[in-house]
Amino acid sequence: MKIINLFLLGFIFIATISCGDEFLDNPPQNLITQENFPETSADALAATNAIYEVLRLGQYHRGFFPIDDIMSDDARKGSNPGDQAATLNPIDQFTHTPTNEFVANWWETLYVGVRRANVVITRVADVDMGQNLKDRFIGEAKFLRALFYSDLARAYGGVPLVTTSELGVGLVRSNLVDTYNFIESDLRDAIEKLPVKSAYSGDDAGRATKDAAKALLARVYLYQQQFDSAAFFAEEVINSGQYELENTFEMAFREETEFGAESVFEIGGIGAQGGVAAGASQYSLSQGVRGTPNRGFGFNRPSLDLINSFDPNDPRMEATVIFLGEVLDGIEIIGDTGTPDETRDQNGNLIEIETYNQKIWVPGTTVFSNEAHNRRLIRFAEVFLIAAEAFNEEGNPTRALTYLNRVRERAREGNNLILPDITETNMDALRDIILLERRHELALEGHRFWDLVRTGKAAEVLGPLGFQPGKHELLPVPQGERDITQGLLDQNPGWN
Amino acid sequence: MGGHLIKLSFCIIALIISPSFGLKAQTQVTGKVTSFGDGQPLPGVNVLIKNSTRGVATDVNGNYTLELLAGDEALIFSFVGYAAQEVNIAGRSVIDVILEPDFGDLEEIVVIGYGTVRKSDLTGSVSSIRGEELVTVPAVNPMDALQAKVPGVQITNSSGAPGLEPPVVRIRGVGTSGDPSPIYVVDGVILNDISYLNSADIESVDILKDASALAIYGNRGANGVILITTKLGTSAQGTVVNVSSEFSIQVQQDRIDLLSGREFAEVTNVIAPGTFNNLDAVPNTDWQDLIFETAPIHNHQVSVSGASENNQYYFSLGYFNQQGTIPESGFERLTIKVNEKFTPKPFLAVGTNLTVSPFRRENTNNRAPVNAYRASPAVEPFGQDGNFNEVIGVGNILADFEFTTDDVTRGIATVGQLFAEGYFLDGFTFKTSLGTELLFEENEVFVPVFFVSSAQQNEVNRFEKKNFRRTSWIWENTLSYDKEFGPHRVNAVVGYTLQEVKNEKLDFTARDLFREGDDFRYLSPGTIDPTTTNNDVKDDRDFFNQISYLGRVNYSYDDRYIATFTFRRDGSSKFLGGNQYGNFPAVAVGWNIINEQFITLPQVISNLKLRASWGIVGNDKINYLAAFNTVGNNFNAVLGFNEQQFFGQSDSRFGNPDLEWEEVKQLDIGLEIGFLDGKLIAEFDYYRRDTEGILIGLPLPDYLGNGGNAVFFNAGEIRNSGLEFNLQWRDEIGPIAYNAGLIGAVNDNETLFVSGVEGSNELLSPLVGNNVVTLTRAGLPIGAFYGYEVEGVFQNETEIANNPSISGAQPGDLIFRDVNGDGQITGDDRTFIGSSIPDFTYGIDLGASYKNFRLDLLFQGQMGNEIFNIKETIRPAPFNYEKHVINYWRGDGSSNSEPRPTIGGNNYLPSTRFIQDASFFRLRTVTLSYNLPDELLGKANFNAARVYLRGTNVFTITDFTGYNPEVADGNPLLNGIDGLQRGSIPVSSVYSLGLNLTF
Repeated sequence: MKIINLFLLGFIFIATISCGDEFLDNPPQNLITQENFPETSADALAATNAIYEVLRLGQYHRGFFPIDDIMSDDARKGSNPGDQAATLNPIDQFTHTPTNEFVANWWETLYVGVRRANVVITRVADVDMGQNLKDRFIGEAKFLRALFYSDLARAYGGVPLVTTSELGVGLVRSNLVDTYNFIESDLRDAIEKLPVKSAYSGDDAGRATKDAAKALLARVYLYQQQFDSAAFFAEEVINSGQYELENTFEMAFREETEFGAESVFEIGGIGAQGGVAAGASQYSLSQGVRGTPNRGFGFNRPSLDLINSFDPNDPRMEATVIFLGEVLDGIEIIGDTGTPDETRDQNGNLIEIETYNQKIWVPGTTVFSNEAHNRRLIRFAEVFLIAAEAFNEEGNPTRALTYLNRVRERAREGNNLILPDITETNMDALRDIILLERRHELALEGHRFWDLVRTGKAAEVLGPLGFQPGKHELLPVPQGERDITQGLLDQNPGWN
Repeated sequence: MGGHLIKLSFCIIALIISPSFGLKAQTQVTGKVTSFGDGQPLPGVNVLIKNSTRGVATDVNGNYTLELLAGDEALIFSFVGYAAQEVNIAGRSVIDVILEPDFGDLEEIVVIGYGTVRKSDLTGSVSSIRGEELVTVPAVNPMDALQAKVPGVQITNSSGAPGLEPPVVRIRGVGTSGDPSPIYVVDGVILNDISYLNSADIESVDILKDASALAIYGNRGANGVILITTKLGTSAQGTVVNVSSEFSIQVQQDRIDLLSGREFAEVTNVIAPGTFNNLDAVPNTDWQDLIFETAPIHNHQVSVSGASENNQYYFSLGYFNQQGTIPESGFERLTIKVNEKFTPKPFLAVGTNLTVSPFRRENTNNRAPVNAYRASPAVEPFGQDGNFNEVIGVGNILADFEFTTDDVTRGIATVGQLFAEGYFLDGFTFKTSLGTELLFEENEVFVPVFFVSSAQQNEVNRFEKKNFRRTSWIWENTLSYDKEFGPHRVNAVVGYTLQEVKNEKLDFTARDLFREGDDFRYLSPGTIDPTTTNNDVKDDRDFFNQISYLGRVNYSYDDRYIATFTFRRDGSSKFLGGNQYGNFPAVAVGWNIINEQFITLPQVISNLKLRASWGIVGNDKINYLAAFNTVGNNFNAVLGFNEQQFFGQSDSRFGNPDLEWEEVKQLDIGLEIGFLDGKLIAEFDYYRRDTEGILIGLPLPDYLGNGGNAVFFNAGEIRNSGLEFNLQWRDEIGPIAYNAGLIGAVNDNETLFVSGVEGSNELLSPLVGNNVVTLTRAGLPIGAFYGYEVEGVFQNETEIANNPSISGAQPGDLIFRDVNGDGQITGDDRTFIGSSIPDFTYGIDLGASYKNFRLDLLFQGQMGNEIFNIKETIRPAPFNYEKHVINYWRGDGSSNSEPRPTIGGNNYLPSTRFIQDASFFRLRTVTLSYNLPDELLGKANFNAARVYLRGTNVFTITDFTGYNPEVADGNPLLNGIDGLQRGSIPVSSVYSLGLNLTF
């Protein structure tokens, strides 16, 4: 009977073993939780760096493809005729719908950027670290948040203003004025907190600066037609002593001038195998030469209209467009065998030729090496053109011409036979000249479509391409977002 | 030779123990006892001379010999699980008998969790399947063989990729939006998958369906529990050696009807005039023909089982090898099984159940079928130079096979347990068992440098090595009590268990290997460049722990009244704080009306039982990370004149710390009835399962910056109610023994309540792109299809002007119904357009045997559900079209069903155009088998030999235009959406030839 007692004792013993609650502890492995982040100044730095990563994502650049340029008269879809035909041709032809996935991707990704900025803005304040660095981090985050919201505002109009990193729903769209006020407030705070470009060490080149914030603020005022403020902040940048134009237009986009004198704000990229995780910037991947050499997918094709709009011999045309047969850095551009070299309409008129965006060109023959391209988001030349436009609208053509001609002077590269200085002082005439100058100087840099919209010329210029006034000034709020939010987010006019 | 020895020794034993030994014989009777249905010999059958104590047991071949005395009239044959038979001797000297399994046998034992119970005492709903039924389908996973055999259990194999994914198993409808799969309890070890197990090693499968049976598994019972008992030799058998061998051919006969090259060119020219100038010169490539190939399956095993006085054993070795019907795919597995139970003392038994199963899987490009569906037929696979041609949007499928399928997974699964049982006092048993699941997997992928087109290329070679390791243990201790006092019978158990499951991953990716050959695929400085920054490492681990207390009392009075009380308390580390512990009670009653004296039933009724149960079980199958707000890594900034990455991390996903398990409250009422001494048996179960707090991944508004990721909430309540039935008839007509069975389940799925993130009462689930495809709202089935109702095609501008239309509509576009009647077509006009959940699933089983031949047929079907043919709607590039598109609208009056051709746009919005009826009727298996006659067996030294021919998935009748109308996804919000889109490989027809030898 001893054996029986043993069994009973054994069971009672086992049943009363208390593993304790620690047996059920299960902290996530190798993952920090948001409640414990950021804790140190290293965390605060990492959180700040993480905002910049969004700028390298393909989706940040308008859903992998530059939607805004394709909507303008500067560019067509490009690539092989079939590639992304169902998603991008509608954008090219203004037949896109609220369910277009690139419209949704862009919205989604800009808000990922906003959230990462909010992590720094709302949670770094409590980190035990030096005040100067803390201010700089928050300043960088505010600049970047403003950058994301400025994209949202011009593409979608007034949007929900999210100011925390917490989970909270029920937001509605703010109106456009409030959205811009929010952006301005962020930028003014960033101007307070950020150092000038020269105050950064070499390893920090590429971080947001005081003047980048001023330049973006000038742009934001220009979009709101608050020309005095636009002129003021543009001139602050011009007079900061931090920037110069490169000697030639072409040089402003080369690897040699990355984070250089003309760069007010740009996105770093490394041409390594392994994509975004290895440091690639996906902006150039979508636009690189398709075929031979093999540099990318060839979207955002410079249009014949853009090519023909340049003054004869304007060096900027050659520096903007890659033609088949051209030899760049010793590499012959042969192009894609599956893409027609020429496309004609039903009447036999030439409507498109196979071309590529040269501004994203990096010497080389592989795709990944092209991902080293640094997209210049704000160039000093743009600041001049903002100043020129703003002063013209303010009734000060003299100063407008000064700044406008600085850009033309550089463009002519010492060749006085071309691109003469502008002397027009009639406000309306000069406005058109500046708009055209922006087209040539900033082609394929994502400005043209919004320039046409904000100057009221979109219907006239883009009407033949399908643009409907009263609708296409803005993208639709993505249908999926409206479905999830149960109609709390109003749709833009014309998109219902 | 071995067979001879064994046979001889068995005969000697049989002679010695024969109680008739020594009595004076007048005559002798001999014979063979075989089993109804499969014709297998039955060893150990008791053969008793009526009105005497004399008798013998049949030997390993089912043979017996008895000495008869004058006056002996009849023999009685009896065997557990079979109906006893009385046969008049009538002067015969040879009496062969076929025993019929007796499903109405009141003494049949049913395995339930942590114990067994007599079938007559069972108060829950449990379906039992014998092991023989599992080897009727050549498949990696034993569950495949249960399709259409168990009412209320839907087993769907939506992918034919060998060994890649287990089938989706759903018990009693769709009650969760998460992982719907049941848990498997193999000889007491709780597992999530049984792909490692050889079907031939399984003795029985018991499927627990109602709350009374499931509550003993507490927070893991909600999706059902499948109890698997593997084989062990029994004392009646002696030593049995079994060899079986099967060879099969898989054929992918189905083709989706697509446009030919010329038709594709014609349609393309409508969209983009002038694309193809000469229709006669357009090539016609049938990509489907290029990717499907006929492929073999080999399945062989040998087993030895038996028992001696204090030792029972079963050893087996199995080999399974399946090539895929898509090139570069295959699965190979060896299974080694050792079961042993040793009883050294009357009060003590120890034993082990162990399976070791090494495997190797070749992974192909699973997207090949969907790519073949999409690829332009107007492109030839190879150019004139012999190089791969570019295929826009999908890539060249043949180039994928050439370059990107060097992908092999090797692994070994070891599942086993060691147990000890002590028997003491009168009726007490203490059992302790330590079980473990060890799974090691290593996946190696090599992608060489290649170039087909810009979209299909690899510039730098890449080598990936991924390691996965699961080490889990479970320690279970139970004390049970089993006792009869007069009319009272008590069966009780209490227990305490602990379990830990730990998964670990270690992945490396190296790029730019110095050499491309097989011999250089190592992650060492000799083969990779240690200075490069392009080598990635990922190291990850997750685990969960569980503590449980359980108890159950089953009480039966006078074989008439039965009651069962069950309780389990579970603590799980998958949940936080106060949500860790949960209690799961159940109560059940049964009434064996047949045994009541005061009710006189008609003679024709041989069994009648009513039972009812109610209880609560839980579903813990969530990703434990879902509770946490996590910070993501590697969000690096690229900065500096000397550009480099600077480490970045930030918030990534939101979690929900308040997550609780889903709770299922289930009511079950069952009726069991037998007629004509069990010739006809019928079983009916009504159930109502309410799943409360179902975990739903709610999509957050993108403005919260969650990057499109959902957050889990206990956000809904779903009711599945239905009726299951099982009707079995068996009889003989002259020399022909036959049986017919019908199983079926009617299920109604209804959302009782759901909340979205904005506090709304409906849930729209975005799918691919930006299109919402399913709607979950009170009153509708979960994950109902959502879209526009198509009313026709606009024939001209006048029609567009006079009818509500969507912005941008042109003649030839679809007319959508103005559901809300506001005179325009907007997103608000989308409505309920179908459901993926079948109303009725059924199986029909027919069998007949004549002499040594036997024919079995199993049909399978479902009715009342729809498929959303999503593969047709997603068209980012000019993909090929399904055949009906050639009947496109060509102008006023030409077609009112098929719109004008477009690449994408409004005609491709989710609508009834893409909803298809998913009802089907399939010949699941047909088997013709032949048992070799004894004369031949004797010459060949075999005791039994059976050869058979079998067809599996022989034909399917359905209106669905895809490969397989059975589509399943773990997530019901995606379920019913053709899986081809997500890369599943179609299931094939299989034809097999097999041989089964016993000696």
